[in-house]
Amino acid sequence: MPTPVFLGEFEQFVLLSLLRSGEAAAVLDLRDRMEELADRSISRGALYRTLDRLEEKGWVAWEVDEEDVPERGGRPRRRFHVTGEGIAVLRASRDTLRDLWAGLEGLLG
Amino acid sequence: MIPQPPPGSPDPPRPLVRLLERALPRGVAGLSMVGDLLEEWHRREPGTRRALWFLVASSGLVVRYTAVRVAARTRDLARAGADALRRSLRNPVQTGLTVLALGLGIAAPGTMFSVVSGLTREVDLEEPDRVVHVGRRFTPSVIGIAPFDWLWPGLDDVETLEVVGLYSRDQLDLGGGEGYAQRLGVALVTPGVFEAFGTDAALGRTFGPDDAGAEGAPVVLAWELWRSRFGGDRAVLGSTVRLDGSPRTVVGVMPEGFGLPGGVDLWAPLDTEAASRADVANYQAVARLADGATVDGLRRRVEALNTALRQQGEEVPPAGGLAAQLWRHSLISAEDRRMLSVMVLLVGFVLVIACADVLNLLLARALSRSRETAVRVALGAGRGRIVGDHLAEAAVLSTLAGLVGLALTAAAVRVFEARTAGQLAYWMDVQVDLPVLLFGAALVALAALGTGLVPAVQSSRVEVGLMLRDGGRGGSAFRIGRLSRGLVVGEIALSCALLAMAAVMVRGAVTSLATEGEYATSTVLTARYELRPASYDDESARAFHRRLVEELRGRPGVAEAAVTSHLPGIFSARRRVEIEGRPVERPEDAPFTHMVSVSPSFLSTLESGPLRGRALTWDDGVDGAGAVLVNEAFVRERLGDRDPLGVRLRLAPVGTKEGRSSPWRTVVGVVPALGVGPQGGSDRTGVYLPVSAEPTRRAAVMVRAAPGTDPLSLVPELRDLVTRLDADLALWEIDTLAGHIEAFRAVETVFSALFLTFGLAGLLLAGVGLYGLLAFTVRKRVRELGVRTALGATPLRILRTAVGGGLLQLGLGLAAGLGLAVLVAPLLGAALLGADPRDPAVYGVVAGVLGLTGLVAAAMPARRALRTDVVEALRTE
Repeated sequence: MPTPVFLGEFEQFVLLSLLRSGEAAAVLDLRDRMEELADRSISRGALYRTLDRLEEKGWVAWEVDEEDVPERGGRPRRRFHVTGEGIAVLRASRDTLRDLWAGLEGLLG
Repeated sequence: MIPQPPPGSPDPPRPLVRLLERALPRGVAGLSMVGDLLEEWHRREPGTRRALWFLVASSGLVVRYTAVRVAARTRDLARAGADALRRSLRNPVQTGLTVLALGLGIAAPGTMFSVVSGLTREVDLEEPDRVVHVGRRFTPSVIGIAPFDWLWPGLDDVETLEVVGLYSRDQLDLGGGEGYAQRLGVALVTPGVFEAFGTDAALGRTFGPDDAGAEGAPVVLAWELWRSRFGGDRAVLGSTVRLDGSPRTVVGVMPEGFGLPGGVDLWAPLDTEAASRADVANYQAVARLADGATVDGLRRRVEALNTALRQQGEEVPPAGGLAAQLWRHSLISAEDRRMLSVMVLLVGFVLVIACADVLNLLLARALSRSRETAVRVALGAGRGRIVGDHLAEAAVLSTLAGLVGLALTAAAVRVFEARTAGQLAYWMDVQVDLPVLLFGAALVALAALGTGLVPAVQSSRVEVGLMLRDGGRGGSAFRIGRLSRGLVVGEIALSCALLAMAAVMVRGAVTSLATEGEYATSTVLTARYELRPASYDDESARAFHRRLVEELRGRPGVAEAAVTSHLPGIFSARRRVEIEGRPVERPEDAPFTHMVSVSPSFLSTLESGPLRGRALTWDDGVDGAGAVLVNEAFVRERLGDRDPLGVRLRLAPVGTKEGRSSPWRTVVGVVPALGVGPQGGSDRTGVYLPVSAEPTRRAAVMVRAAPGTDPLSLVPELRDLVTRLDADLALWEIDTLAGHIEAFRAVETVFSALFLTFGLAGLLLAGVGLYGLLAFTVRKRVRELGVRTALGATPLRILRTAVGGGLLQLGLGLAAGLGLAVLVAPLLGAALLGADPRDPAVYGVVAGVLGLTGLVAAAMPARRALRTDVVEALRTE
């Protein structure tokens, strides 16, 4: 049996939202999508720090956007995507949760 | 090309953006965050709301990333600390010695600080800036007892005072109830005293205006006396006690810890009527300033009082009339306070010396690690990292040393407490408390910076290329030689100064403690008593003394017994003496001499005897048959070596009342030196009067135990005997004569012992420093010494190369240190116990001791240098 993987709720949320974006997402777009999905405001700092951590673990990666946005005054724009490892972790986490849920339908409805 | 923002929509203020960039992570990540913010900024409607949003959003980010950075820094520091600890533990001996040295350095000022803060502790007063003390000015800083009519009713009219209390202090015997009579510190007070101190009785009441002079006049007990003598029983209120033989009613108990105006066990009302008629100047005042009034304002009013007194014909000296000060300043004078601070500062030298030692050690360690440092720098370790590592090492050592220092301080404070028990005012409380701990923490921080900063900065400046090429030999990449040598000179100078001052203090203590003459002290039990003037006239006092001595003499375990007005080796009163055949024009021209009243057995009790002539008898001194003894010093200095036997003397009468004259008395014997006068005083002359001639009321009984008997085992017997003779008479200060003499100077002795300990610690540390430097030099130059030896250098030449510099530093340090001592020692004033602060003999000894220590420190490195094995040395890498 594989080691159970527990992803933090927010980490999971970030990863899944990134995947839903379909392609590498800029942070602003990612945040808009997450706020839309969660129907609440997402703290900028929390999001950046979570992305930092996910990046350290190797579950997300980013590249610099080629597009030149004049409003940014020449500052780069990062586009994040979920890595293969990140997808594997999501799967493992889903399996762990599914195992934990299994058999409790009678109790939880 | 730099992209321009769309026209009409300006960016946020540039400085703000730049600040943001600094606070966020470096590189693409941080820049992109700022970019994201700017992009969002431009998506929003311009206006105040956008500005606010930007502030909130950006500060949120800044806070979060600052927290991240702080956490990382802390982790780094903890890691550096752990590394340093591990490195230190790899060399336990060296680390242990370092920690011990620094610990000593911290303990020295720590202890002195505890002592000083204990001695200068403030008495707990309500509104301390309004409680003032008024009395007679004796010296610029001493204000004390004054004649009653100077204070009253003058002070009562001073409108800047809300309430005035007068008091005089006394010691009286408390009798009645169970147990022996007990000697008490008593304050006779007017009701205003309690009001001025802002303290009321904890049980019962204090005094009212009608209490003075009333039948069975009331008394108020101190809490501690109530607990110890009356078992804390509330029924004591309204009960009767016997104070100096007369019945008094207990009306109140003061709160715990209250003993003002100082060491008071019992308060009794002061009868102002009687006081105004009395002939003694024994009064002081405590008062509370009215709202808004100042001490300066009061001083002006007091000056006006002085002027009025002069106009009334009182003899008020120009600089010595009444004076006022804040009450809390009356407890310890500004000069004493300054002297105590100087002591803390001086003892701080020990820490400086220890720091210099450790600094040199860490420099040497940094030097031996310079290759490692160079490699790390070459591999990209930042300067901050290198500095941080060294500081962490110093911090770890200092913290360990702080713990050692704390333990040493606690031990020293306990010794101080034990040695001075009962000798300090009741509010003085020497202990390791929060201020002491904070002071210690500051010392630890100082030590860490003092020992770590220089090696840290030095090694962060390492020249990588040179270092890696040079291979760390000879330390050419580090310029620490001059610094280390300078440090050692400084160390020697400081320890020399410290030791010189300690030696002066010790000399003062030794002189003042030396018992003058040889007599029995440890076998003699002594106790004081005072016959109540109201119950004893001359006749009955004479009878009491004689009965006491005679009852004691026959008892088993008692070899001899006597009474005396003053115990030898402690203190005697002085009086003017007129010598027949040497007339003086005015009575004030007659010379002084110490005067002691003694019973006939005084000499034999001390295992002494007359050198010439005879001892006194009970018949001497009664009704004109005046016989006295004089001591050798009196013969030498007052009689000019004329044959003393048969010379007639007349002692000036006690008191100032006119019409009393003292009879002529004949010298019948000469006694050896038996410790008259305060120790260390210059006048050693003394006259011994038979106690029957002037039956003193304040006396001490001396009982010499028979061989094999512990003098203290005679205490119960002595107490029972005295109680049988007079149940209201208390014995107090019961101890051996040796114990008395020691206790008399306990505080001073402890101070000089502390100073000597710290001075020796400084000496040791400076010696270690010199040794360390020389040993290090020899080790580093072993190759050079080998070459020199190989080339045929003489041993002398080798010695000069190896340790010549050390001797030069020793000389320089000694000169500087003695110079420093000459400048600073006089500031210690009274703490020197009368010794000359610039005593050349003492300085000579100190220089000798330090010089010797220096030579010893240099000897081992010198030996090693001389024994350099040429082949071995040349092979050394």
